[in-house]
Amino acid sequence: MYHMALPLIVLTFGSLASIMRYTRSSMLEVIRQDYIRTARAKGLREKVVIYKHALRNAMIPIVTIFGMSLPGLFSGAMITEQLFNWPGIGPISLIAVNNRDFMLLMGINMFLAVLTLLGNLIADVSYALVDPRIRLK
Amino acid sequence: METNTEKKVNIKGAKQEDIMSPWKVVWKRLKRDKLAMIGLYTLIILVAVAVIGPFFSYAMEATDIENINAAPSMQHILGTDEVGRDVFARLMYGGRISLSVGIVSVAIEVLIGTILGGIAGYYGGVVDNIIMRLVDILMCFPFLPLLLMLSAVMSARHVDPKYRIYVVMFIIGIIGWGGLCRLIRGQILSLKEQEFMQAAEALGLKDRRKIFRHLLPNTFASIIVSATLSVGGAILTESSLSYLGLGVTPPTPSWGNMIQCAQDIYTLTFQPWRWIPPGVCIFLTVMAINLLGDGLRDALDPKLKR
Repeated sequence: MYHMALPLIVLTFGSLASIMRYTRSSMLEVIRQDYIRTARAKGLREKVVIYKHALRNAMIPIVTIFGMSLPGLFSGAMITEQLFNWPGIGPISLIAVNNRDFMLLMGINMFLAVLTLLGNLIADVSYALVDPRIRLK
Repeated sequence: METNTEKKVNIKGAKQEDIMSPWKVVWKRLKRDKLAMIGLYTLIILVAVAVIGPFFSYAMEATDIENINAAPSMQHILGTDEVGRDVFARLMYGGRISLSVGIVSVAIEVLIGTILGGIAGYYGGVVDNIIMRLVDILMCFPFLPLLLMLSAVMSARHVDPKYRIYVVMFIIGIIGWGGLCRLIRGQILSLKEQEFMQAAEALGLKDRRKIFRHLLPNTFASIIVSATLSVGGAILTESSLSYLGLGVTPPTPSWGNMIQCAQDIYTLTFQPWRWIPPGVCIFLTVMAINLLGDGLRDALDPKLKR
């Protein structure tokens, strides 16, 4: 755990900014809607208004980004893992490239492809979870 | 007093004051946003310097053999590189390429991503499935081998380095639209179930009008955020493509391949004038576009009242 701290910070900060901006812009869109005013008028606490009424409706772009970042967490960590000497999938694929180990490379690509599909599937399912009006058949 | 006079003026000059075209309103709102204006001016300055600057400076290939790797001085404002080329001149030439790569490729990305995302989200069913599987393929595809192959083909066909940059813009645009497409589609899935779409349905509007007039403007916030974020990404992607020999090849500068020289530990430590300026330029560009995009988002929002 102790050794995880630094690479974790690097990887987190990388995607933090963009997720924050997406959240901000879609929150701004939602926060002026009538139902937020209704929720405030009902006398709900600000915390409930923000997290339960507003954030939930602003979640859709964020869910998409999360789904897409799932494979990025593995492939994008290549340089970070190399720098911090973390024996993960990054250094392994780098060694495979250098040694022309095509089988391993194909395996890793396959793994990433599956992760991409999985991430997109999770995002699709979460749409319906976040916004019950969406009907995916 | 204030309100009274204002009212009078309004009644008198009603024609000029009350009826403003939507773009004028947007511009008026944008002008009030200080940060956005800073972004706009920074961008204008960067573009102007990149376009006009080279006429008044050293040629990008001119070498000054007496001053190789020279530190910034009066003669060379930002010093020279390893063969004595003026860094400032190269910075301006590079700006032409990097700025156009960033903007054109993002424009392609946004165009394809928005249209396909809108169509996929609106129609759903089979159309949605086809487009989304296309996006899945695009996102799963390992691009490094593809790019290496393309670069080999272009070398074998003796494509003029001048035209390579257009290929690069095109490729970056084609690679990048998947994410935006999914983003738009997700939002439209939610938007199309809302009341105003029922109203649009009841009015008997055409599908095209419903998608482009009623649905897509509501996803504008995400489009702008995604586009502004990917301008910087495109500039950096160009640099890694240049590194593979696909993009701009070394005698021609771009901000990306100027930064590549920082990989050398000696340059990194002892010659900061060679890699800090292009870095700062990329930083400024991305920052300016982000600020402008944020302001534009607020200005284009019709629900916002100030």
